[in-house]
Amino acid sequence: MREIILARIDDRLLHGQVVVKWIPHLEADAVIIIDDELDKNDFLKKVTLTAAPNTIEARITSVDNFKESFQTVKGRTLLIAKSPQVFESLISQGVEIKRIVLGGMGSGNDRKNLYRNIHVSTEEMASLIKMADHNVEVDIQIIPDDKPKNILKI
Amino acid sequence: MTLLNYILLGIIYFIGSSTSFTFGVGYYTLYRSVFSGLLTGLALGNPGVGLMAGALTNLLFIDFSSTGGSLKGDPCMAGILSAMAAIKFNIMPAAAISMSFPISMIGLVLWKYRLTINSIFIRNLKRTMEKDVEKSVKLNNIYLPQLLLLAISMVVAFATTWFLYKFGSLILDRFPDMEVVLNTTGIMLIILSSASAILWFKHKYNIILFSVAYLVAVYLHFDPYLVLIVILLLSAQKRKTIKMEKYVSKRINKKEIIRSWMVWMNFTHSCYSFEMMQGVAFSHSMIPIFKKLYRGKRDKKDDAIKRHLEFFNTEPNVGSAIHGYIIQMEDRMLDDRQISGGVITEYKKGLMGAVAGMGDFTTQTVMAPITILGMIYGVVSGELSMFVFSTVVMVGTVLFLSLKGFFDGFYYGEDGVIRRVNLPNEIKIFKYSHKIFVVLLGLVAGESIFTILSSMGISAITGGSAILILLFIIFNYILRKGIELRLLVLSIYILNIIFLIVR
Repeated sequence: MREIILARIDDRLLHGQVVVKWIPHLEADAVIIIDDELDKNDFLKKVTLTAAPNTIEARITSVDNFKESFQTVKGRTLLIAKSPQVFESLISQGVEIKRIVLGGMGSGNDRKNLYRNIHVSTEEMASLIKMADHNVEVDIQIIPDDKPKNILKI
Repeated sequence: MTLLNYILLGIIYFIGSSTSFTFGVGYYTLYRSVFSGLLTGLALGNPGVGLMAGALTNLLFIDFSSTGGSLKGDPCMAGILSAMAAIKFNIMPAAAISMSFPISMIGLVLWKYRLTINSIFIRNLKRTMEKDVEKSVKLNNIYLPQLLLLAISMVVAFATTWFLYKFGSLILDRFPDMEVVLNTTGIMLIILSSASAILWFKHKYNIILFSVAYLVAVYLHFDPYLVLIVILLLSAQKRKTIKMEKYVSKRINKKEIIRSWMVWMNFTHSCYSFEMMQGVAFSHSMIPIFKKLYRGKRDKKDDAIKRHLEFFNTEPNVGSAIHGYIIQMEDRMLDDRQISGGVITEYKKGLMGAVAGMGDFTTQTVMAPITILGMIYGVVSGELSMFVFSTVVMVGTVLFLSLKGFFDGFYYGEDGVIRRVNLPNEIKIFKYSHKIFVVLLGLVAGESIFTILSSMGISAITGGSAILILLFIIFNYILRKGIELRLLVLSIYILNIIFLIVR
């Protein structure tokens, strides 16, 4: 039995808020980081996997190999990626994602400020809206204690 | 309260909430209620009462972390207000806590807007850096934001302390029974926050473990030092030695690394903003390195400083291995064409996220709560040497971890970083940290409730304290059922006020 309980967009990937707040809150059994660049860098990959909490299974995969990687975990799974396009691509591959939260997107690269530490480019916003229109719940929610803000209502 | 009193309390609030100028130790000491209470006690001429009020207030924030604790409030401000109320109104410490806690919420606003306000300095830095980047970084990372913070904290501290003083005198004069009601409210708040803190780690038998420890403390008054020895034995462990190749540099010596460490530790959060978080501080900490690497080449030095003015955020003490590693890369870049500014940025970003998670776990959910519980334990059980000892352990851990991170990252590169990240997997205390926290909290809560009841002058102190364990269990049960903590806090206040009116 494996299910995707949440997909999070955060350019810091597996960091403090995720480890200290989200994983205990979601009672997640596994976390999959989907990032092509990280998947290619052996050193950063090793650091990230070593730093992951012992209580959960952690995987790092490229967008193309996601389905294979997903088969190797069990239980409630959290996905993390840097950009919405990653999840859009997974959904088009037939992966079932019901809810996406925006947790941290840095400024720069023509990104405009949306809310606090959330910055998006025009393409990213289009991708988010597209998914939100297709029955994916897209919210800004930095930590579980925050009230979710739906992207369509901003 | 004299004008001097108000000014002193303002300064205490500033150094506490600034967390700068203190080698990274301030966040775990001066910012916490136990220390702000002690300092307030010193300023108002009664350190003993201040320390006790601060220590008991700190129990409300025992699971406080930068990623958000369960009971919202500003620990530093709450400590100042509690100590002030306990000394100036001569009331019981628990009564002082329930007076100060709601007012201390105002301090949260300051933290929230600090990240937004500091954007002014980021913009100013970007505007002025072309002229003299070194000067501009120093000005906008240290002097300007800290001066503004000093001004704001003085105003906020004055407003809150003045309000508490006037309002407190008024109601205590008018309703002499109020002290008893406030005291009950304070006791209930402490019980509620402990009942909530043990839910921090999900474990079935937490409440049983906690209750046993609580009763042991109430009946046997366990020696805090015995507990300390157990914890120290668990943490004092020799790490596996692995063979690592030492990096040799002709340009960078220990001196430059120590200078970089000093800048980093003192100013990590000095200009903390949503845009860059600790980014300015990172760039600032690289100045001593670039001064050496690019001696006599001002343009290259300035470019390097500007290159590092980008978003950076990690756990500052454990994450220091990143700094060491980046310093090594910067040094190697002078001979190695494979390394570019882009590569360095990529590593910096990749490492900061990964290290932040395990770093926050290491310091904010293991090191800080356990050492702070040690401090509170010392105060409430009357073993002041235990308070001092726990403080020394905490300060030593922060300084050692951070400086060693710089050295390991620089001298052992990738191996050094991986060794750092592997820290919680190797040391036993991290494996048992949940249980240690719950047991220690039980012991401290038992000792604290006993101390509070003793100060009330009732006859059945031991029996009364023991019976109160039922309230912990009830609160814990309600919280596990999903009732919001805020709602419970509010109902405790309302119920006690109704009780006063009915009586």
